[in-house]
Amino acid sequence: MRIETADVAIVGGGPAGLAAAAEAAGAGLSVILVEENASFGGQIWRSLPGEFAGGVREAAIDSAARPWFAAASNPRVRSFFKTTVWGAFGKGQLEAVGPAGPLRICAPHIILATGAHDRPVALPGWTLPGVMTVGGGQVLLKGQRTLPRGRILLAGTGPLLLVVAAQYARAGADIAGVAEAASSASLLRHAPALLGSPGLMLRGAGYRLSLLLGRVPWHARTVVVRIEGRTSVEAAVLVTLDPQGRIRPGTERRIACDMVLLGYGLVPSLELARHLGCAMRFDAVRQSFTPERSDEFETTEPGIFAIGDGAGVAGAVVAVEEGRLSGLAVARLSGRLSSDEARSRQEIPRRRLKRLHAFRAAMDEVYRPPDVLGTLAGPDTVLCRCEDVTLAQVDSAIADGAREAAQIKLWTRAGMGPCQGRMCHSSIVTALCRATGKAIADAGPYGVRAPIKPLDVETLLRIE
Amino acid sequence: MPALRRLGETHQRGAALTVFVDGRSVGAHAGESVAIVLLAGGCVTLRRSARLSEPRGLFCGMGVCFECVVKVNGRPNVRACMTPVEDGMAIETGDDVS
Repeated sequence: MRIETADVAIVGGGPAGLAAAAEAAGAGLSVILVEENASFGGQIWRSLPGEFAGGVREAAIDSAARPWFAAASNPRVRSFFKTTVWGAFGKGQLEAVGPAGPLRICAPHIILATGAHDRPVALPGWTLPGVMTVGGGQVLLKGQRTLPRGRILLAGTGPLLLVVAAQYARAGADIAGVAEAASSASLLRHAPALLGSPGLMLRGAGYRLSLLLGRVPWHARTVVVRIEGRTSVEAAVLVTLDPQGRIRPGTERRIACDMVLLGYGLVPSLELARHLGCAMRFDAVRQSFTPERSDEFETTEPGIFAIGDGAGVAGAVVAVEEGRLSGLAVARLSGRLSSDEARSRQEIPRRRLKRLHAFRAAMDEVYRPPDVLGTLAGPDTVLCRCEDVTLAQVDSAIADGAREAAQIKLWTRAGMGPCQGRMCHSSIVTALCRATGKAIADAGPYGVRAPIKPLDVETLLRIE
Repeated sequence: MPALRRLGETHQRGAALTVFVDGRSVGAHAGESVAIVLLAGGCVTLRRSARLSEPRGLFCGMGVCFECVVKVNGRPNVRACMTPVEDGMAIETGDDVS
């Protein structure tokens, strides 16, 4: 079995991981960078596949990504693409599997930059073919240069929803409408903090303008409550929320469409951090867990850092600065940089993060997922897509006495399929908290055990 | 779900190749994912769910949800969204996750 050693191992080649790799390698450290996809960029800086014509591919690269792509080509960075970390057993060790089979990575320092995925929201019809996440919809366009042919409705909340709607409009998609759960009033209320980062606000305005010019119907303070269709999407039902976030009676309307893109914000991919034993806390505004971290983003496990959207969703700009800061911290801990030198190099990212903090906090408030999202599933709605477990089955387990998410998993099989609870855990916790009055933070995670992503037996047999 | 259309000129994509979807030959380009090729060919139901046998299609598009698993060259449970096509590849849809 292949074993690779470096000063630092970085999991994830998106903005955070690339910036961490660049700083660590720049300070003289040997770096291993593991990326599940075939190229760098993560979701936000996803580029076209290497097989596409060079000119088209080159033009499509995000300008913010270019310097980091270049920096990560430092010879001290060894990159492993199409490689998935599936577990960790010894201290300073990661178990991965890639195109050449199993790989053990040994490094005294580990930086987790695992990224985020769209928050799953279970609602009637969300399992129909034609319902996708907004992030997935962006991959079709940005990662493969394709566009769905039919009428598309986008529903959710937050900046990614706006970005993808605008990208689809510019590419010539037939957009039935955009339903944004947040209100414009809330955006105005937080305007002072948001305008502290004028560049980001200006970009947002540009996306909004594309939608206006494309005459795309914009539904503010609106959520999709149900998706209809027999074998694929035929329509979506929208409702308006009142200022308290409750459904306003009599506002239900049915919009015919062939595809629905759902995107109620992003949640960090925490499985590896949990597996490594990093302590978590619940962030009530972002409605997600986040690892406890030092001011250099070291977790409660010494030598293990967590950065970027994989530690708490804050976008690419924040991710880059967290990456730089943690990469420099590891360089100091490895003895490559003196404390003074590390501190001085960390000054710029620290200052930028401080400035971005007010913007991020305001964005989190404006685009806070409304509580009503947890009430949309009906008894027959499938919560666990892998094992086909419905809300009625989960409720019945709770009625029988299940009091923790892990118990519901054992009793109903919800969360035992290949996605390992990534799509259903939050819905199950919501059902549990509604029935028992428990706080989400106390409902307990599903236990995270290796392999944190499915592994075939053939690979397992080759591990020594 | 509607089928996908490829944007831009054909020559801007990867080299043309052929895959077999449930025994039928389908044109594709190097660099495209199995999911893209299936959807571009109008195949929107990628499998039936394990217990309720419901139609399911591409959902997260980034390797997280495992809804798009198909059989590739006889190997089951392969994520269509994460797997680039190869010339002559045999793709089978419709199997339950096992």
